[in-house]
Formats: sequence, structure tokens, C-alpha cells
Amino acid sequence: MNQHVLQIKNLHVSFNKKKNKSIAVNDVSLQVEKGQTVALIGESGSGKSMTSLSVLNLLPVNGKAERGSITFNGIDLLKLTEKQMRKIRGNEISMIFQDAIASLNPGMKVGVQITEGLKNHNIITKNERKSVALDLLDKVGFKNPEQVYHQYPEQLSGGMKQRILIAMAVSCKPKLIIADEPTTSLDVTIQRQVLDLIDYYKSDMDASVLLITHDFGIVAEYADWVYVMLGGHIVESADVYTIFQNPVHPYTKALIGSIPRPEMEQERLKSIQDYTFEKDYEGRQFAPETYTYESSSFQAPSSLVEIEPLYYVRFYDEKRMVTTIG
Amino acid sequence: MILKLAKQPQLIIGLTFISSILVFSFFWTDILQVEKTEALKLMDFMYDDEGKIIDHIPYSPSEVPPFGTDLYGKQLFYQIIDGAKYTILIAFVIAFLRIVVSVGITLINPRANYAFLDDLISATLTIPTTIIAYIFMNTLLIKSSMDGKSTNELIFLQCLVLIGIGIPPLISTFTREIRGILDKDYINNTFAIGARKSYVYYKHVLPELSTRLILIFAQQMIQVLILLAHLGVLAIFIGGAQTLVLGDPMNTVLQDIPIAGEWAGIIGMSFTKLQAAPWIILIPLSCFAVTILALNLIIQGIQNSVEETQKL
Repeated sequence: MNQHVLQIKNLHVSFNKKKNKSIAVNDVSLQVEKGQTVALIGESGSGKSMTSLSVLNLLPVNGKAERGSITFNGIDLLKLTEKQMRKIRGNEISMIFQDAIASLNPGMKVGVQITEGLKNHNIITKNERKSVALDLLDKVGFKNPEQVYHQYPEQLSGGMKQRILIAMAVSCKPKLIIADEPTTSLDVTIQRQVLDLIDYYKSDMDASVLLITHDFGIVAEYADWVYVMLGGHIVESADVYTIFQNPVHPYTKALIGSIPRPEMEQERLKSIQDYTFEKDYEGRQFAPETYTYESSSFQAPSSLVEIEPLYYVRFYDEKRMVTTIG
Repeated sequence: MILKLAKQPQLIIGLTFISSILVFSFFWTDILQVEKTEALKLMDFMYDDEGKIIDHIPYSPSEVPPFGTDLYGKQLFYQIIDGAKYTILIAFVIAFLRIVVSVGITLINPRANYAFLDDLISATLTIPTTIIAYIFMNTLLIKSSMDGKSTNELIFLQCLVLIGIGIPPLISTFTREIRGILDKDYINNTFAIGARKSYVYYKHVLPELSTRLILIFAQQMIQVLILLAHLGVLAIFIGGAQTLVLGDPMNTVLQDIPIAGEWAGIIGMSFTKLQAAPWIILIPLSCFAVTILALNLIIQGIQNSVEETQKL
């Protein structure tokens, strides 16, 4: 039996804006197994980051995980108190944020920031701080840890900052690393280094990774399992090989089709909107039926259907569809 | 940051002025080699070498340099020097406690909705702070004279009033500032590694807010100094006043003499004689103005330093 490190079941996250309520995550279920890299892919605003922030209970003030459960190693995280949750954050589950420039305090030396997690979890004493920080800097590939220890973030490049974030995230040896678009703000030449580093730590510490991205190229190379998100829903999930070989949901097809292919001659790069939305698959209608998020088609009842063993695609609930069409 | 601040000439001039005047105020008897009681004694008449009366109080700056005397013949120069420490320290303590209390209240729950405070502030914006302070302080003075409160108790309660009326707008300001900092990504990153709120406040929020705190502190000191000057004109003195009975028994005149020697007291007790002896009012007012100028220089220096940092 596979060992689930993280299991999210029927998660609903909503935001209250004055009298309006908007749903950011709608009935999301996913699981991450030990040693696995699971990719959560989708466009901006699809609910990926909100799903990941729910895991650490770090949603913005007006956001709330209304329903569902998030189980980490058998513990329902949504039922924990703030104090209990604090012991999990950084120590058991850590997060690498996408904007390395904004994620480091510009007024604090790198050496101090890198050991904040260890200090807060009382893993090290003040005297051990420097040696531990130097060791972490060395592990994330800095040739001159002593110099970097005394530097401020503004003295480092984007890639170096991202490596600092990785060092911070892995400092307490967490079992699960959530990497929220860790390469978005980086030069393509640096992206691979950063992802390799995360992958190396995953293998080294026998940890798991929940990789949030909008880049199918990254998914293809690093992920074992893929969840595709659209408008707060998971629309398709399968292992990475199956999804790449035989995507079923039109949104997944469009995402994969949007990957730039230098070998193919085309006048301009295709975007998702260039792909026509197929209507059905073996008599079932895909949900949603459009790419436009501001559409009532996102509200109509739908569910994930197992079309092949462990291969799920979202379709409208048939009986209700009859009503909708009628 | 401190090094950057130290490179600002305005800030250095302002700080040097304030600290010099404070040092002088504390040690003026030693520096000028005079007895305090002798220097601040009441003079009545001015005599010539033969002992004939040639003039009477108040004496103008040309008669008793450099600042003349007040209505009772006390030398203004010594009063100003001696009163500087009370004036500046009272303003300092009130401004400091306003900041500490406001930041403390804001940090209890920075996400709390203080919209009602903004409404309250905008609603009371048209009422001068001096009037609000006068209403509270006057009531307090009457109540304390009835209850027989000591000078120290009265000063404590007056300071509480002066602190209290400055807090609502400051909470509103700090809520905006602190929320702005808490919304930054690195704060979220720090929470994500398991940091406690107190750690985040102490290590990230307060250091980020520090320059702004110094700036607001200097602004608050100016506000308090202006408020003290205004209250002095309205005969409200910090520490209250002693009432002297002047004149002959058939025609007595009651005169309030401030107990603490701060500058506003000098203004307040002589305000009615503005036409007859303008220097008694103008000299302490000028001292307020120069101190406020020094504080403005400090503010300017801090702002210049912040702008230079932002340009980098």
C-alpha cells in the first residue's frame, strides 16, 4: 500500500470581499506519496497557490478553508490550533515561494535569515547558528559561504536568492516541500539548477515535493504525478507519462500544446485560447466547457471520473447535464 | 541605517541643538556659576546707586538683559533655561508613550478593522485638538483641586490625557503601516518556516518600521509642544498652578502661578499683559518655535536619509 504523506480531500477555499464571496478552490482532492514529486499545474488564478497555502494554513486574512480535509501523515491540518500548526510549518512541511526577491527581508543578513526556522523550532542554539548556516549555504552550492553569510539579499542575484530560499526551506529537514513556482522569476539558465537542487534534496532526505507550476516543460522533467487545475477545480489527474502521451481534457491538451516547440515551424506561439474546446469524451461532456473563468459553466455540478485505472478527468454530472441542456 | 542618518547635516544640527539645550538646562547653575534660588528670585523695584527707585517690574530685555523679567520680576533667561528640560522632557515622554501605546495596541491585532477610528478622526478633524485637550484638562484641574490631588498625581493624570488624545489617529496610521509590512512576501515566508508572531514583530516588523517610528515620534513631539503652548495661553499648566493673592487688601487680584517651570506656564500667566510686556510672551513662544524648528530639521534629515536609501 502506498504511503500518503499529504492527502487533500474535497477542499473548498473561499474569499470574502465585503458582501461578496468568491470561491478560489472548489472540491479539490489530491495526494502526495512518500518520495514523490506531484505537480499542480494551471494558469494564474486557477487556485494552485491557494491550495498550497491552505496546507500551511497561511491563507490571506479574508480567505478560509471552508470544507474538506488536509491530512499530513495522518494529522488533519485544518483541525490544528495555530500553536500546533506552527510546529508543522518549516519543520514538517516547508514552502519555497516564487518571488525570491520579495521573499527575503532586504534589511536582514542572509546568515540570520537562513537559520530562522531552526531558531524558531529550537533545533539549534545561538552559538551553533553560524556553523549550521555555513553548512546549509555550502549544500545549496555556494562556493563562498562565509562571504554570503554576511551579505544582504540585495547583494545576491535572483538565482542565489532562490537558493537561499531553498536552504531556508530544507533547513529543518521537512518531509514535504511545497515549491510554489520556484523558477518563475528566474532566468531560464538558472531554472534547471534550482529544480535540480530541490530534486536532489527530495532524494537525499526521502522527502516529497508538491510542485506548483504553470510550465508543462518542468512537469515533464521533474514530476511523477500531475494534477491539472482550472478555475479552482482539478480537471485532470494522472501519472506524468499518461498525461503527456494521451491527454484527454481539452484544457490539458491546450496547455501541452502551448509548450514552445522550436522544431515545429509556426508563425507565432499558440496560446490556450487558440485551441477549440472539445465538447465530449465517450458521451460525457467535459467540465468546464470553456476556458473563460467568468462563466456559469464552472458552477454546474461536475465530478472527476476514473476513465482508466488511476486516470481521472472532470465531466459534468450526467443527470444534471440533462437538466442544464434542457 | 544609523550611519546613513549620521550623514544628514539637518539631523545633526537638530539633534545637537536639542541635546545642548537639555544639557544646559540640567547644569546651568554649574555652567553659569549662579545659585538657582538667587537667579530665580522675585525682583520688585530697580534702584540706582543711591538707593532711589528708578523703575518697577516688569523689566524689558534692554533693562535686564538678555530676556528681561516676567510680571513678578523673575529673570526670563533663567526661567527659559530651567524650564527647557521640563518642556522638552514632558513633550518627549508624552510623544514616546503615545507611540509605544499605539504600536502596542496595533500589534495586538493588526488585522482588526479600525474603520470606526477613521470615522471618529475625520468627524473630530474640525475640532482643534487644543479645545478637546482643554475640555479634559480643565475638568481634571477642577476635579483634582476638589479631591486635593498632589502635583505628581496631577502631572500623571494630565500626561494620560495628553497621551490619550493622540492615540486614535496614531493607531489608524500604524494599522496601515503594519498591515503594509505584514502583506510583504518575506513575512509570509517567515511564518511558513514556523516563526511565532512575536518573533516576526520583533525581528521583521519593528526594524522595518523603525525609521517611520522615529519620524512619527519627532512629529508627535512637535504636536505636543504646540499643544502645550496653546494650553498655556488658555491658562492650563502641567502640574497645575498656585493662586497668589496680589494687590492691597481692599483690591485683591488673584494670579495663577504655574508650579512646574515649563515654557507654556510662562506664556499662560502673562498672556493678559501681551500689550504691556510683549517680550514675556514672545520669548517663550520663540523658544517653542526654535525647538520645533530643530525637530523639523531632525524630521527632514530622516526623510532625506530614507529617500536616499530608496533611490539605491
